[in-house]
Amino acid sequence: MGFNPFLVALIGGLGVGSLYVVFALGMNLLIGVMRVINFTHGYLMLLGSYLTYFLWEWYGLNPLLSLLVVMPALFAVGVLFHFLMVQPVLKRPYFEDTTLLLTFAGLLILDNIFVKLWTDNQRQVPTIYFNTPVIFSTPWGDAVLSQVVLIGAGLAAAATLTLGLFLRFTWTGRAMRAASQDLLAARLLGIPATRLYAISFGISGVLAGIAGVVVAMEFLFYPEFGFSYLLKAFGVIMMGGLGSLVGTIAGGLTLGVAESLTAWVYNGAYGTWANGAAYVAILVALAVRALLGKSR
Amino acid sequence: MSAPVLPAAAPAPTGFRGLGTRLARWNHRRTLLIVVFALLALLPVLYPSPYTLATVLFYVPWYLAMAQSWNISGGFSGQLSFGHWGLLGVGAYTSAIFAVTYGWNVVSAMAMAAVVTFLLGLLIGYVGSALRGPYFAIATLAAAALIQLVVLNWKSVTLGSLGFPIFYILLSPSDLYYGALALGAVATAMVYLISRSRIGLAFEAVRENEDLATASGIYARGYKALAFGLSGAIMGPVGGLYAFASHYIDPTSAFNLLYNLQIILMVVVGGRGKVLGPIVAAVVFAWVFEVALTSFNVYNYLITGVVIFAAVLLVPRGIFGFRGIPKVLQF
Repeated sequence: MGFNPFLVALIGGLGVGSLYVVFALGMNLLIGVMRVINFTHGYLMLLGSYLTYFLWEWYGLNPLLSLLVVMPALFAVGVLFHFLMVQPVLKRPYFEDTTLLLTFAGLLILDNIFVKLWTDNQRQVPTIYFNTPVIFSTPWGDAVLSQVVLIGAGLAAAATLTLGLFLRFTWTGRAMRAASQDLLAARLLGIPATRLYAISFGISGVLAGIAGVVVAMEFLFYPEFGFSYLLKAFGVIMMGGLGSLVGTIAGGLTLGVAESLTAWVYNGAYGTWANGAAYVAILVALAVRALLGKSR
Repeated sequence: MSAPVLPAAAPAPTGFRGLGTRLARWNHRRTLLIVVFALLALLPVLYPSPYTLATVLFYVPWYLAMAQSWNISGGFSGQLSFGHWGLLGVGAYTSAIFAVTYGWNVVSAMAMAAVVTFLLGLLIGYVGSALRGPYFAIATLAAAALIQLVVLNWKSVTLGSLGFPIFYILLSPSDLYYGALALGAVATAMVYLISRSRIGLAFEAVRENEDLATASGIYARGYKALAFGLSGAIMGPVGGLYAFASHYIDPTSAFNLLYNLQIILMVVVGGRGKVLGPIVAAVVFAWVFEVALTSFNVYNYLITGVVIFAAVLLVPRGIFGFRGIPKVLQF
């Protein structure tokens, strides 16, 4: 039986959606734990992508092995960002607005530095996985996708599962959930807020790094990529709910499929209308919130 | 047995009570504002070249009008807007389409742009008022990005990515400069009147504590929508001036997020919800961005980012917000 284009779009959308999940999880973790919207998250991800790229270019390192370098490096960068952008204004009034301005300033600075250092050129880490097709046979027809998407989805699933287990079973994870429910009560019970916040930012960085490695294998990336992913992550978070892990998974997969099907309907003109799926997702989720009368 | 006679109810206070008497009393702050705008009106004398006037000096009052527009929503009612670049682009396209496609004269085309962006601002402000703080910021960012996408794909009206030429409408450099200055003066007058009126008090109450304001009988969502609509009404003609000054707009040049960030910078440095501070900051930074940095414009993002960073950390209440600064400057 021949290919079923609907199935191809659906499975491709799920593959991209899994990347959105792991990317948006990092942002949503910070929103949940400390009510910080980190606009630099897309550029943290790109930092992972560029690190992967240069490790491959200089040392010929397999992108999957470079995870071992990217994850600790991005953890360190995340902790550094916490002490640059969140710690100094922790006790200010309008804390959320202030950190938003600071992280947006960080986005501008990082974007300019990235363009200056690495130019606007599109890069990709070529792998054998990219050119290996995987064919699924179903009763409704065949679907095909690249092996690299499957690997990316596997990485995303592993990272999501690990994060879920971490939040459920470790002391730090439980402290994070406690802080997200009621910071004052958590501090009264002896949870060190500063250290917890720094660790959360670091874990958020690690998730961005994993997404970055997947991006480096799957897409042509360039500095502006970080910004477009930011908008997609907002769509995921608005749909899934602020600070919700299961919601992020559902939202990410939904957005991936929605984009992919939009592109399919508009005959492969990906990028013209498909990007709009994220904006529409944000605004529809917002309108629903407005109708339900929820203020957050 | 007759029913007890109830005492007559006191007349309800009207919304604008007191504004008239306050307007009648002159004060030094108003004198100061008039002096500042008189100086800005004399600025072209220093730069007699019409070329500089149109390409450089024009942007000083242009940024000023945008900064005060952002100040109405971002400063008074506390709505951190990352969507003003969308309103700017809509203003530019509306003015251009009405002036070129429908042959309206420039002023009525810009008035039409003001109406369109006012209504759009009301809509975004009302729907977005369900969200607070950072979530409102994300929603406005998405709304502006969606508008840009619509302009890009609505080819029959906007010509899409080809861009929209406005070659036959020629405004003289001084028309552009004084048009922008008039818009800046109108925006400043709006900010000043808001700061002296009950509406302004309502805006600030909503900003400081929305639940408390609602409990005190202030219709928070309505005031937030009004603030964003008024702010939008300024952005429309400002966008129109941009279109007529550049003679050609396309979805990337008319929709530029950098403008949004630069006006946030001006208001944050000048002091959110202040009148004089943002004027000074806008004039200084407009000059910095358009004159001093034209040869370094690859570093525009870096400089904007570093200045926002420094301003948020070091001058959270604006340049005139320190103790010891004369009281007459702190408004």
